[in-house]
Amino acid sequence: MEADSVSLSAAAASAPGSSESATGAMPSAVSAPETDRLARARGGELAAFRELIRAYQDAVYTLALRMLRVPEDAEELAQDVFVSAHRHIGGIESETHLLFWLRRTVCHRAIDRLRRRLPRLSVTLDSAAEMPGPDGPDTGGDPLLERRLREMVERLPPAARAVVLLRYQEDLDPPEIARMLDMPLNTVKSHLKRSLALLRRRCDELGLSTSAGGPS
Amino acid sequence: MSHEFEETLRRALQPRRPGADFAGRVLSRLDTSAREPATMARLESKRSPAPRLRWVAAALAACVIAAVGLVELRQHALDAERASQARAQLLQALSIASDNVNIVRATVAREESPDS
Repeated sequence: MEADSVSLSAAAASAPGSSESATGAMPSAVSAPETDRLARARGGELAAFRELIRAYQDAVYTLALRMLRVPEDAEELAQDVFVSAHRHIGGIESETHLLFWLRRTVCHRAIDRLRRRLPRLSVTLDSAAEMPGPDGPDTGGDPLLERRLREMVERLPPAARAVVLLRYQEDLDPPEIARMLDMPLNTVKSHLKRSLALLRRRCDELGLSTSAGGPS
Repeated sequence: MSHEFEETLRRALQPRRPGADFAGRVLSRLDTSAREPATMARLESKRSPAPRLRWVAAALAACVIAAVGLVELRQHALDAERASQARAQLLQALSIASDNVNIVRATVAREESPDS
């Protein structure tokens, strides 16, 4: 599924319309300057494409990092995805479409890479507590709980991990996730349900309170 | 409880920033990937002859092979003709020798029987 297997036409067919609000890192309304920068990028202006990279680099890099778990690999994958996006920029219809395409491409490519290197990363969920992970920004919650949760999410099976990340990191609805990952809706819901149950049970086993520091 | 857990999960999965000047590194790769095909094409053109030249070389080789074949065929035909002529000459010589032997035998037979 590497490279161009994530087709633009499929992405365009599945992407929410430009009138729909984008979620996650994407601003909900695409303003005139943003439309302009996409048009300029399509016209070959690198400065405009740089603006697009800056707008979406966090979403792409974070997805890659949490899928692959190795910062160097995540950086390489994120760069690959943007290089590929530049090659296909002529077929991108809107920034909503672009973000959909970026998320879709990074998830598919990450899953593909993980399948190829599974033997090296056959780490069980039980070892999650022992392995250090990168700390995230201060969110005002329980840092230990959040760090453990991140580590446990990063050790879920690739497809389930992609579903959980798109749901709770990118804030996408299950139907959007299903379209993005070419997965039946029921499978997405099943992944979410089972992953949440697994994470919650693991937190309970580790004696971590999941209500500590959380909003009401 | 479930809602709180999901909120905790959302907070845990806050976005991370890539290293400084990520966009610059992507753009430098764009420059490189744009240059690479041209460079490769130049190298390719230096390394291998143009398709037209390859066709000319193949046609020349075919002509040489055909010419050598024609010469060999002509030589074979000449050899066959010479062999045929030699055979005819040999048969003629044998015929002459046979006639001479018959004449000698007849002469000897006449001298051995003078009564007849």
